Amino acid sequence: MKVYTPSEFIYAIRDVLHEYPVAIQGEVSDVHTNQGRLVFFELKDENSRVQCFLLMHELARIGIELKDGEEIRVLGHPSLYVRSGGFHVKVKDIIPVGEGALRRAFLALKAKLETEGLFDKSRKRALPRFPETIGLITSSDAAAYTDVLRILKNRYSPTRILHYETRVQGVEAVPQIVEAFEYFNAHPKAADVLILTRGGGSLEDLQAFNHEDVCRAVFSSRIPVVCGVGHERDVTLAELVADRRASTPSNAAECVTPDSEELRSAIDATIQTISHLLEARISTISHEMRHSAQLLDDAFRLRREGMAGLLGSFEMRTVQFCQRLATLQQSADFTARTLVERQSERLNRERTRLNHLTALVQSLSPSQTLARGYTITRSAGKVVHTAVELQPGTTLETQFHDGRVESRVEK
Amino acid sequence: MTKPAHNIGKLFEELEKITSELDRDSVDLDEALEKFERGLEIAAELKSRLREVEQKVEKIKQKFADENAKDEL
Repeated sequence: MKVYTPSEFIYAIRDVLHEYPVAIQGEVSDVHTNQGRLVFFELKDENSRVQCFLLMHELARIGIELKDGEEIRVLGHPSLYVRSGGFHVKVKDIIPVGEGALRRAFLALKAKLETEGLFDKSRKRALPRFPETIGLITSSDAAAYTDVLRILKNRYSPTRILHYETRVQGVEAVPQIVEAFEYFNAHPKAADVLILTRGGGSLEDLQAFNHEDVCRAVFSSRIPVVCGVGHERDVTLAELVADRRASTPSNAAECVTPDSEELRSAIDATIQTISHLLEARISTISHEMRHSAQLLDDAFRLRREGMAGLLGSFEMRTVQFCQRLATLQQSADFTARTLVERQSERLNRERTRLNHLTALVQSLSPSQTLARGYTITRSAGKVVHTAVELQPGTTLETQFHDGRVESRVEK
Repeated sequence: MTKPAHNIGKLFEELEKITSELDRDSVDLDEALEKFERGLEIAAELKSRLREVEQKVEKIKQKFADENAKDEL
């Protein structure tokens, strides 16, 4: 047989005990804290009591106030203190039991989540208009399940439903619902929208939907969430966190789908609209064509009329031009005649003057003088004006009006 | 489970797009006629999809199912 040291024994037993998670329900007593970090209390009934222990910050996370005499349910596992070997339950979660405690816990958590902004309207996302796949998180035992399927089938059949089976109350409900959200968010293309739903019930029945872990799972879902619980008067925290709060499970199904009947009407209306638009287009175009044809016709008529006017005006101008040309011709003829007359007059005048001049010239010519008996004497080709310059023996040339003679100077 | 070639949302979007395009004057008549015909096609397709009656429900096998089974044993 193996021999343990005390601490080896404690550790060995602790390891074994850790394997057995437990849920214990009883009355709280002897709550006390140590160094502001550790919280101790006992759970008791008529016959026994169990020592419980958790860290202060875990109690704060759970968000429950421990009060002597209050009925609670503790989730955790058995363990031993290393120093004393004392037996206790290491608390993981505390669920209030009894309406009063539940109501207080509900209000405390509600205030906490509200402060943190989990209910903020601004973070609520729009739901898809035409979901192809709807993730359904609920128990198939619940009436809510059949309600949802019935509404979806009647209202909008083309959608696919992925059902993630969970408990909706009892100790397993919270981890299973959290797990369902983890699954859908790990496969974000699997579903376009999630429905978390269950039937109505007492505050105790609805505990899972008022649990912080479920609220945080809804809050952190990347896929929009619709949450609907039981009757309209039941409001759970999960619904306040969800993107859309449905009043009932059936209403949750209505929230996530369009109504086929309305869609058919909308399709008909759209077809009617586009028919009208097309008719209007055709009517506009034919009107435009008529208008264009009219414009073209008008333009041609104007052009034709313009052409006729132009032709008339051209004819008139041609006649005017011809007349003007004739006038110019006459004027030119007259001018030419005048010119010729003036020219011949001038010619005659010039001719007369020439005759006078000829006569005058002739009267001044030496040949006339020679004819009257004078001669011109030249020596060596030069006219001799004086006898003094002549020497005996010089040859002289004498010109008469009818010829010349040569002679020699004697003395 | 065969997934339809066109999902309803896309078809609706296309139908709405056609409506708004026909509402603008920039589309010429040939194009408008084509769009109109496409609109009729989409409408018929949508209506046939909305008539589907078979409900498609799939169960997801979660790990808790196994644990529950163990507990029952």
